[in-house]
Amino acid sequence: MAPTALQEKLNGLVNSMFAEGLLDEQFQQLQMLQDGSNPGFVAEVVTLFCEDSERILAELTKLMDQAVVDYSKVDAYVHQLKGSSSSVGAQNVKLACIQFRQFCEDNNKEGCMRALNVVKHEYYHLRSKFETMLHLENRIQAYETKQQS
Amino acid sequence: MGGGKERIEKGRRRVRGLLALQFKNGVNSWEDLDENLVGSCFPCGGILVGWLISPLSFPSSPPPPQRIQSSESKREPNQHQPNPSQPPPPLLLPFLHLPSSYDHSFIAAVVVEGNQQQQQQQQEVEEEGMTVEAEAPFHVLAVDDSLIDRKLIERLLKTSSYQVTTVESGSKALELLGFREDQSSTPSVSPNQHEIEVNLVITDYCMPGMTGYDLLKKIKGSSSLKDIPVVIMSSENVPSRISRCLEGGAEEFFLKPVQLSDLKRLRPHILKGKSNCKGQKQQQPQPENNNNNGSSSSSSSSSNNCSNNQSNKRKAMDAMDEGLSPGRTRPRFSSDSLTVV
Repeated sequence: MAPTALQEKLNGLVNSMFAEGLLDEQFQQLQMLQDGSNPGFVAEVVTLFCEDSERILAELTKLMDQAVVDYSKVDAYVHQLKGSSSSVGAQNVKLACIQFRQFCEDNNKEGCMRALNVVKHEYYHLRSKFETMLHLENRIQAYETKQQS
Repeated sequence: MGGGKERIEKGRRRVRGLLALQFKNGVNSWEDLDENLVGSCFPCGGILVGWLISPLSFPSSPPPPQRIQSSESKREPNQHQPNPSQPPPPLLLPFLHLPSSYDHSFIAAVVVEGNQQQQQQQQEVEEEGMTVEAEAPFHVLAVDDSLIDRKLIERLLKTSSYQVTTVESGSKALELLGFREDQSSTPSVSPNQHEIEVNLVITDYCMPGMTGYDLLKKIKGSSSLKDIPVVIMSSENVPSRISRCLEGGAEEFFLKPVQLSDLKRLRPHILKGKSNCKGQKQQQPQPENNNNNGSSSSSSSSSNNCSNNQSNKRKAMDAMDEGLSPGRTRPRFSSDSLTVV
């Protein structure tokens, strides 16, 4: 596919992510920080976010599996995930975390189980879009590198 | 590197423009020229600190017997290192031709202090409508337990032309700062080799172990560190937390996620912090700018230099009527980065 078509596809994808509420204004801030001297900044942050999130979700799953749930530990992890999703502009994930923390405060196990599932659902949905986004970016950059050589 | 050439070309045009204006305004001698231009800043990030080679004369005198450097079109900026004992310059300004309305063109060598981090500031410069901006790199220590937030704050700070060190905890931060629990007086002259000089600390509030507030209190309670401005960040908007931090001595409280526009609020605190440190540093004599040969302008008393060079820059700006805004930049000299082109 020609690079302009690729770029259009990428723009369309990112725009739809904004429209759906997957991403918020903070993601635009990240895009602004990416430039010629730091072409991989967004990709780097997105990748870090995904690794970090999966680590946290795994811990949360283990904690919620306990017979007696340690809500302060759970809350600490959700707080972390809320922070990182807020920093990258992952709006839906952030909102799901806020809900989750409310259930933690109330020590509501069922509420927490449901909230964890919502967070997971939102995260994996976002991740698949991020994967497509990075894939498109790589193809565009590969084309540009080829042009320059 | 295309970007670099463009910046150098901009620098060239700028200096040419400055000189042209000077001659137009009736500058008659190298001394006059020197006086008006020293302290001027360039888009590529350097500050004109003096003239190195000035046997060349004004049009009324005979032309020099030989050219010192080739013309700008053939010039490769990074190849010339006239003074081998100087470290490689981070940024160079190329040579100049004076306006061709004079009978001969001749070359001036320019002594420049520059820093590669200033290149990143160009976008900001253009946004603010300023032609030039030169800023000595202030060093910010960023403390956050979140890796993503560290990456983000690092990029934000570097984009805003700060030198950055990031650490993941308050205790690491104190270690870097050379904090010693029992300090009750000004520290002795020999610094701990792990100590770094920091112009501002920006820290997350919620961290395991030592919170940002705890770190703030430790810094403000230390005689050697108390003048370092501290900014606290938090993802939570809790008014009592905010006022507690401000009362504890924090300069600002940023809500996360921190944005580029927030960082503009750092500058006045850093500048204030620098002038607070003035009393602790040894005063050194002012650099001679008039008949200088470029080698004597180093000083670690940055705020003294600051006021002196601000007035030079203001003179330059008056002469040029370019509408540069005074007081925005604060040149700082160190012998490491003086370079001869």
